[in-house]
Amino acid sequence: MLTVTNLRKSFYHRPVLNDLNLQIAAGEIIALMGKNGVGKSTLLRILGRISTANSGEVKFAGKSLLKGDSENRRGILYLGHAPGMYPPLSAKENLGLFSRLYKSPTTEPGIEEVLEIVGLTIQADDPIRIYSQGMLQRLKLALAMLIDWKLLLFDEPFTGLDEQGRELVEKILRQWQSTNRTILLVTHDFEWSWQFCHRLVVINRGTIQYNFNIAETDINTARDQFRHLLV
Amino acid sequence: MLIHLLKKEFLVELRSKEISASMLTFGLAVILIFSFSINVSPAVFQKFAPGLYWIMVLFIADLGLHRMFSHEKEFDTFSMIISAPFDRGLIFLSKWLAGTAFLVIAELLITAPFFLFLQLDIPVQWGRLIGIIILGNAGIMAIGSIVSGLAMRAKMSEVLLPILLFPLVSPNIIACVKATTAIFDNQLFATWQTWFQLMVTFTVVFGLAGYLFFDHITEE
Repeated sequence: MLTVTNLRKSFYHRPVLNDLNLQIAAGEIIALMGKNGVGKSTLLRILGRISTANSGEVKFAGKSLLKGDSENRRGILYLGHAPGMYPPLSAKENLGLFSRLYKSPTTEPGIEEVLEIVGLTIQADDPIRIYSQGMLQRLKLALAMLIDWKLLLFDEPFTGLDEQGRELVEKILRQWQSTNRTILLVTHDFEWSWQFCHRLVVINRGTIQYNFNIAETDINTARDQFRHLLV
Repeated sequence: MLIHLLKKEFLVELRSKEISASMLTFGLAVILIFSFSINVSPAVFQKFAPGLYWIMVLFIADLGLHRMFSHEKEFDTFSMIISAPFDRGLIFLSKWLAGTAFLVIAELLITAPFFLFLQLDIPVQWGRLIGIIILGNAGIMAIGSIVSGLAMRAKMSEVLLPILLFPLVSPNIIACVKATTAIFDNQLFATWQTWFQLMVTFTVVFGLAGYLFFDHITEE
């Protein structure tokens, strides 16, 4: 579904991604891990076509993502650190707008339904500027439920969530897992990733250091190697 | 898609009122300062009123342009917008058209006090004056939307925006002043059509450039 070949990216002449190669098959859920500043979020932003790469190639569903037409991005949904929506608008208005911009138009009852699932019904008409971090994270999840994506790029899905919110994210992620959706997520939680994902990809020095296939790898070996890298 | 983006621009402005309120307040304050600080007869004032008017418009536009991408910056909404599967040039078109509309709306409320407080005669060719004002605004906002998009990711965008904008927009402002002066003097169109042509060319060139290159301008 997604092929990343020899991807390079530098900031102020400092290489962040250095000949990175990655392949993601349809239905795979992959956790992207590594120390702070190794380029996990940068990789996600390049795949979301927000950042440009210095060189390399990214193909999504056989089409070039970096050089191709805007339609080639169709099916990719990027959810970054920030809420990514308009602060003066309400949750309903934001969801309506972004579902149209991502070419997945929806109805008012459809929006109300996802807002109910994520527990934002009461605040649905309030401007999202007054939302807490956890509420904004839930709103992002509601958007992901509305849009018809093929590949979800999710940067730190549990940021700012309380226990209830975390359970909600896990529940929805499991629903997507059961329907063979493809997800690439950035997380720092090794134990959770090992239970939930198909693969655990560890980035170090701008390239992929470990690519653990969870079904075929011993957790203790992987944990030791991962922790050794973080020291 | 352009319709959705335009609707969004107007809805966001309707809720926040950041652009229109700041442009209107600043414009009215400038008119008050002009009327109290310049002590010449209305006949003399009529001569340099077009220059003052367009300087005021330029500063008002600059204020609006500062806020043009503020909502996209606050929650990194810009990343979500440019990641969506549509032509990024449409983002420029929506910003340009909405920015021009906000500027025209602000001027609708500012132009009458400008004539009233400065005791200016309403030009005979007032219809042409309105046309020149709208065209001039479109030209300012065309280059302004490009520069605002460029400056958006810069740390010192408040400083960068006027530094880039003012020199680039100068040909359009000069043409606006010359055309407005000619209209104030009730001159024939043939005497100022060169300035009109310059304004049209400027607006079309920067409008097209913005549409075509906005993708490259805004990428990280």
